[in-house]
Amino acid sequence: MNANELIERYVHEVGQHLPRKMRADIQLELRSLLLDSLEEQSAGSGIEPTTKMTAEMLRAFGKPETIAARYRPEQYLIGPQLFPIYKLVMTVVLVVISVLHVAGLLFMLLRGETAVFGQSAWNWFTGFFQAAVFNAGVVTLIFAAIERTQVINWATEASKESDWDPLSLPPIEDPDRINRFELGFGMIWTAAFLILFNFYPQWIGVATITNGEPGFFPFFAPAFAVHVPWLTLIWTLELMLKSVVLAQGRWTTITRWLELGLVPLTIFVLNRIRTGGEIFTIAGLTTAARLILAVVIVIVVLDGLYLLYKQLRRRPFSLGSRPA
Amino acid sequence: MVENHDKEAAYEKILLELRRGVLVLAVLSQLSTAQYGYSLKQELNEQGLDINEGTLYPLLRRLEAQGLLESDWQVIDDARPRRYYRISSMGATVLANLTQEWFSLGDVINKLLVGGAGGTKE
Repeated sequence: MNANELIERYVHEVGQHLPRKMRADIQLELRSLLLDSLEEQSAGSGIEPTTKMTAEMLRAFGKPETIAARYRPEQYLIGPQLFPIYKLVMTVVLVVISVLHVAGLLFMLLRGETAVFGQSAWNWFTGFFQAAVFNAGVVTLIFAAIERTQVINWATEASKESDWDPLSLPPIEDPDRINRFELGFGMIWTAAFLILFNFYPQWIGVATITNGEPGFFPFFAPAFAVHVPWLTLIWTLELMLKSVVLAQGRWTTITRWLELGLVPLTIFVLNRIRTGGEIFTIAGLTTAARLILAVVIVIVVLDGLYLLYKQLRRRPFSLGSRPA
Repeated sequence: MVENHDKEAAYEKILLELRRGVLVLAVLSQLSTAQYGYSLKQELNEQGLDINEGTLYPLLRRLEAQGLLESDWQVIDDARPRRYYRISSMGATVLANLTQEWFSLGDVINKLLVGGAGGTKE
């Protein structure tokens, strides 16, 4: 291989990484420039261009991919201006698909299609996965097309930026500050469950009238009663913890760790219910509840891990804090 | 060792960013007469600005795409055809503004570096 052939190979390789419409022109110029450079080096050293000399020159010039990238205009599948909207749309689409599929699953279970539950669950999962991947692909393609064709005029968008008002910025939220109303409301509900399950379990159900005789159809199966002491323990601990938080007016490091400590206990109790005896008086509902509890346990585990991660990375909140 | 390599890479990146803006000014300043890529590189080298060819040639294309340069293919002295670049009228206006900005910025940066509290004044 002689010097010219090596240059041809290099020019060809750069061209492979360039858009077709600009390829020939850039290759023509690049060949001319490389030959200029090689001639100069050859004249400087007083010898005819060699393959080694050419290789050294090309190495200094740069890898073909790198050089081609410098010639190419910057390209994105989805650019930085469009990306936040893309992310929002993608989130909405995936949430809608998830909600629809969970609703479909519940409907299927309530209709009693549980005889071949394993098969149905697998069908449900593959259907959900296919729908999520397909719709995510469609959203990505649409946004890539918008990016490619520049349907949205960023010059107009940029002019809007000058209308932006800094005074419209939202206040910084203190993550440890509590909303007393929200916390109190949650505590009332917890207390209500505590009282209902312990003192008035006979109220949990539906009043019926059969042949003129008043009756009562309980929601929970008798076997569920063994879980009530455990639920009572969780709710009591939760009420005690939130009372402290309410009194202090904000979350502290200790109360955050105590909140985290409730997570393993909650997982234990939920799993006990899931794997225990009948939950509801209607068999189909118990099957559905077991599945939902499995999903809830996964969510609680993930939420617990996220809380732990946040707790470990946590720094005291200060409005006046500055990065080091 | 890795840390040193990271520091070097970070420094190289900052240096590249610093030079990137300056290169445009340097290139525009030398193209009042038409030049082809290699001759421009030589001229910049002779005046003390060492620039990699792989950086310079794509830059010329970009400046042309932005309307700051004009170019055409020419054959001079029976040599091979070469693309010659020269500054456009828009490029000349931009060069004048950039030159003014450069001197003004240079004064400020000099003051900051030499006279600032955390500066390098000896």
